[in-house]
Amino acid sequence: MFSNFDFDVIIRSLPYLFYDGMTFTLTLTALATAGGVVWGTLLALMRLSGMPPLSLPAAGYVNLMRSVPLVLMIFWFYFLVPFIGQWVTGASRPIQVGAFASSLVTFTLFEAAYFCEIMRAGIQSIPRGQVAAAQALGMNYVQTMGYIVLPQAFRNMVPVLLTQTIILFQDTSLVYVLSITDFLGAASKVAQRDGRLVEMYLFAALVYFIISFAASLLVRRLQSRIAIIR
Amino acid sequence: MITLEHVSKWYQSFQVLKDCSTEVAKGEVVVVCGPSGSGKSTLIKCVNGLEPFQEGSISVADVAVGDRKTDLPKLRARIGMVFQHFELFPHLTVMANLVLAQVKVLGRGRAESEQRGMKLLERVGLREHAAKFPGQLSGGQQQRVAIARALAMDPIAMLFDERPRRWTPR
Repeated sequence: MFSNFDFDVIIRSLPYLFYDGMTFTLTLTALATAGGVVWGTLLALMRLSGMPPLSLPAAGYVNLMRSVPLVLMIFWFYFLVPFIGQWVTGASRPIQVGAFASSLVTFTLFEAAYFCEIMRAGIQSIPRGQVAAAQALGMNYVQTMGYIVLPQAFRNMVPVLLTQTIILFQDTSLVYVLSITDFLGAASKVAQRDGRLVEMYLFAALVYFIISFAASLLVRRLQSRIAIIR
Repeated sequence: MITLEHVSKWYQSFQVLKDCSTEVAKGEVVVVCGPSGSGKSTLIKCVNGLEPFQEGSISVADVAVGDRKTDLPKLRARIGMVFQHFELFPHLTVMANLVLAQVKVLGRGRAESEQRGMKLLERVGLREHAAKFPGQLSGGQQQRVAIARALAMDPIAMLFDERPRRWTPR
């Protein structure tokens, strides 16, 4: 079945695939996760604040982000951000931000909506009594959140947060619409150039599978190690 | 030290506290008795402002608890409280439970706070458990940690919200 396949093309393009492609994919995943968790946590705090001027915009943002296809967001931001930049800085031309910056902003904003919902569930899972105990010791809102609620919420939610990161890792392949050389983009370029579509896409799928599967196994092992002793 | 005057509280239409008045002097021990659901916990939580009340006034060391202008965190830092379910922070060690608020709220040095913590743990007989997590202790031990945590703040008054059968006298 594989007799007329040329698997040598994979070996030849390995440095390009991993050094150029995978580096980009992992960088984007890591940065977007970090940014998304921070912004998502802030959104979660806004949603749970009980103050309509904060909670309503946050809820609207999350619902909007979660009901628009990611590919569309990537496109939108790529074409829109230069104009926003122009409008903000008052420049005479649209500000070119580059495909990387644009996709990083998109993924951060998009994933923040999902991280927000995860953190919201995490914060709500902390018993009310913990907040009362922190307040009874004289802690203010920021201290209560920072030292008592969020650390516990993060610990409870790490498995879900990491699972979301694995999904993000797979989603980053959508940057191909901006013809960025991420891992899939690199594989795709080699495939087109050498006319080896089946081999390259099979290999790309295999790599995504191995990394994602290994990561989810790791998450499962981590889960038991970081659990809070109750 | 603690004065309650005609305090009333409602949860929607249900009245939990009906015109409660009392006075507690410094050094005095007052026990509030009653069947479960009669509002003992609610009353005690009103005293340090964890629960709002609609009528009457409460003052602790001449500070009005119900006043909007009162710096509640500052007042609460001076009132020790032990909760029904202790509410130790499960992600922190016993020592960290005792040290956190001393450092972050009172602004004490870490070394001084740990010294104070150790002294109190010794007093409640839990010195060797300092590095453990609350989940590794028995109910009675957790209660003593909770008392030590409240005492570490050098409170002017202590509030205990609990059923007495958990007491292990020491």
